[in-house]
Amino acid sequence: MTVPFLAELRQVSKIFWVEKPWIGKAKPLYALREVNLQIPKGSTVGLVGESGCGKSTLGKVLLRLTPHSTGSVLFRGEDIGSLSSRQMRGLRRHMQMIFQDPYSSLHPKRTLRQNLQEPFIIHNETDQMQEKIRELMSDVGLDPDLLDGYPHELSGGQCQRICIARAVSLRPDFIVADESVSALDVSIRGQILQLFLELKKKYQLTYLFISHDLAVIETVSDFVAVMYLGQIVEWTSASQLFANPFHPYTQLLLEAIPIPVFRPDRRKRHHSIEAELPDPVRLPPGCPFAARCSKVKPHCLEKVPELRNLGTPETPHYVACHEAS
Amino acid sequence: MSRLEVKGLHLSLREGNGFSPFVEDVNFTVEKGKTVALVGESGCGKSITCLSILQLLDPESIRIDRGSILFEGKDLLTLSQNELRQIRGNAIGMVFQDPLTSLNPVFSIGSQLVEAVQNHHSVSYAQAKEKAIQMLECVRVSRPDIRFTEYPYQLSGGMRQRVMIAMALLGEPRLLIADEPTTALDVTIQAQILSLLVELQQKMNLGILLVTHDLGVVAEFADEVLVMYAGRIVERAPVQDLFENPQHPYTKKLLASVLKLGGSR
Ligand SMILES: Nc1ncnc2c1ncn2[C@@H]1O[C@H](COP(=O)(O)OP(=O)(O)OP(=O)(O)O)[C@@H](O)[C@H]1O
Ligand SMILES: Nc1ncnc2c1ncn2[C@@H]1O[C@H](COP(=O)(O)OP(=O)(O)O)[C@@H](O)[C@H]1O
Ligand SMILES: [Mg+2]
Ligand SMILES: [Mg+2]
Repeated sequence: MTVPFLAELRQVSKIFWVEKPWIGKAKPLYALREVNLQIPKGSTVGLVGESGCGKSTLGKVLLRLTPHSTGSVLFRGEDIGSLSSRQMRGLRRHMQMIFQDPYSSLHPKRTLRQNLQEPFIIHNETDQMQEKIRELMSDVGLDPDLLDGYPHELSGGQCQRICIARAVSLRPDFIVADESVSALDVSIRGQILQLFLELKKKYQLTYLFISHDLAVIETVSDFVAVMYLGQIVEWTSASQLFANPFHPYTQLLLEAIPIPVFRPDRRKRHHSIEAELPDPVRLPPGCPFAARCSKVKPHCLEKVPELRNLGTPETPHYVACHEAS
Repeated sequence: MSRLEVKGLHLSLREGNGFSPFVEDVNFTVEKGKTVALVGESGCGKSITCLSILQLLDPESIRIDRGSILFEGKDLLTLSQNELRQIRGNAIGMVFQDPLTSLNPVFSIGSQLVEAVQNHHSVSYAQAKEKAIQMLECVRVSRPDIRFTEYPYQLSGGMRQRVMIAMALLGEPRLLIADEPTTALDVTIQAQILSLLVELQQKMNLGILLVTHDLGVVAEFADEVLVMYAGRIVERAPVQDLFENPQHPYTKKLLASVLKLGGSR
C-alpha cells in the first residue's frame, strides 16, 4: 500500500478543561478545533499563527505527546490514537520534537555526551554508540571535543545544535521543530535554518516547522498552514502564500512585520492595531477572526467559514474566509 | 537628570583562575520617556551589560571592574544588597531574556502577579488581583480571569512572555530594562505590546532600555540606538541617523544582514 502522507490530522479537536474561578465549573478551552492537516512525506510544512492559537498543541498532538479529544491522528497511514503505550514506544523513535529553549531541553547536570547517549540507551541501541555520537557532532557542525562539557558552557546556537543532534540520532522520519530558532539572533538563526535544510537532505526528513516568524517560515517551507484561534484558516504552497495571501489574518501578519527602515510616521501605524482578544473558551459563533477583520460582513458573524479551495486542483490554495475570492 | 546614566563600565569574565576584560568602557544614557535600543550579535555582551545595572550577575563568573551606573543620579554600584532589592521590581523593572524559565513553575500566575503588586503597594489581595487582571489584559492575554488561576505550564510560550512583561509593569517602574522581550511573539502581538510600552512611556515618563536583535523593532520604536560589538559600544546614534547614515562598518554589515522576506515585499 502506498501512503501519500507521512502524518495527518483528520477533524482533530483538542480541548483543555479550565476552571472558571469562583464558580469552579470546568469549561472547555478549544486549543484545536476540527483541524485537518496533511504532511506529505519529504516535505516541510510551516505552521504560523498568533501566540496561543494552538501551534504547539498541534505539534504535540501529531506526535501523541499529548492526547487529542476527538478526530484521528495518522502516522504512515496508521491511526496512532488507538495504539497501546508499548506500540507507541516503538513508533516514538521515528518522530521527534525540538523545542524553542535549547537549554531546558537538555539535562543541565549531564555532559553533552551523556545527553546524546540517552536516546540510544532508551531504545537499546548502544552498538557503536560513541562512533555514532561523533558522527552526529560533525553532522551538526560541532567539535567532538565539546562532548565532555556541559550545556551551560554553550552558546544558544551551539546548544540548539546539540538538541538537533539528539533529535536526529535515531534516524527519525518526522521532526516537529517548535519555535526552534526564535530565541536565536538573526546571524545564528540563518545558520541553524541551513543546518535543518542539510539534515533534511541527508536523512530524508519530513518537518513540521512551527514559527511565529514569517521570514523563517518562508525560508524553510514547501507548504504553509496559517492558524488562528485553534483553526487552520489558510493552507497552500509557500510560494503561493507569500505571493498571494488570501486570508485577512495572513495579510495582517505580513503587513505587521516591522521594517528596518526609519519612517517619520512610524508611531501612527501602531495606533491602528487595536483589536479584541480572541477567546478560546467562548468561541464566536461565526468566523474566529471576525472581531478583528477589516472586511467583516454580517454573515461572517453567523457562520464558521470552511476551508475552500480557491486555487486549482494541482496547486490548491485553501482559505477559510467567506469573503475571499 | 537622566533616568539612567552608565559611565565607563567595565566587566570581566572568569577565565580559569583569573578574570579577563570583556565589556569595556560602555557609556550611555536613557532619558525620561525615551527608548534606547541595544543591538549587536549574539554573545557580544548585551545581556551581561543589562544584568550589571541591577547587579544580578554571579560574582564568581562575572565581575564589575569599574564605572558608575547612575539611576536618577544615584550610583547603584554603591548601594547595599538591601537597597538594591528595594529598587528591583519597583523603580526599575526588568524583563529577562529567558521567559520560559523565569516564571516559577510551582506557583499560579495569579499568585506571582499579586506578589508583584503587593511588593510595591500596600493593597488588599482583591485590589492587587484586580490590578493584575487589568495588566494581563493590557498585555493582550486573553481570558485573564482564567489565566490568573493557571500555572505556567498551562500557558503557551508567548503567553508566558507576556506575563513576564505584565509582572515587570505592575511594579510601576520608572526605568524598564527589557532583554529581548518579544522573541516569542508574532508580529501583531509584538506591535501591540510595544505600543503599550510607548503609551506607558508617555503617561509615566518611563525610560526603556530595549535589547533586541530585530532591527525592524528598532526602526519603529527606538529613539536612540547603541550598537555593541565584542563588548564595546561601536556606534551610538539617534535612530534616524543610524538607519540613514550608519558610520561604523559593523553597523553597516548588521543593516545589510537582515533576513528579508522575498516575494510579496
Ligand atoms: N497543559 C495545558 N493545560 C491547559 N491549557 C493549555 C495547556 N497547554 C496549552 N493550553 C492552552 O491551549 C491554547 C493553545 O496553546 P499552544 O501552546 O498550543 O499555543 P501556541 O500557538 O504554541 O502559542 P505560542 O506561539 O505562544 O507558543 C492556549 O490557550 C493555552 O493556554
Ligand atoms: N552567567 C554567565 N557566566 C559566565 N559567562 C557568561 C554568563 N552569561 C554570559 N556570559 C558570557 O558573557 C559574554 C556575553 O554574553 P551575553 O551578555 O549573554 O551576550 P548577548 O546578550 O549579547 O548575546 C559571552 O561570552 C557569554 O558566554
Ligand atoms: Mg508554542
Ligand atoms: Mg542576551
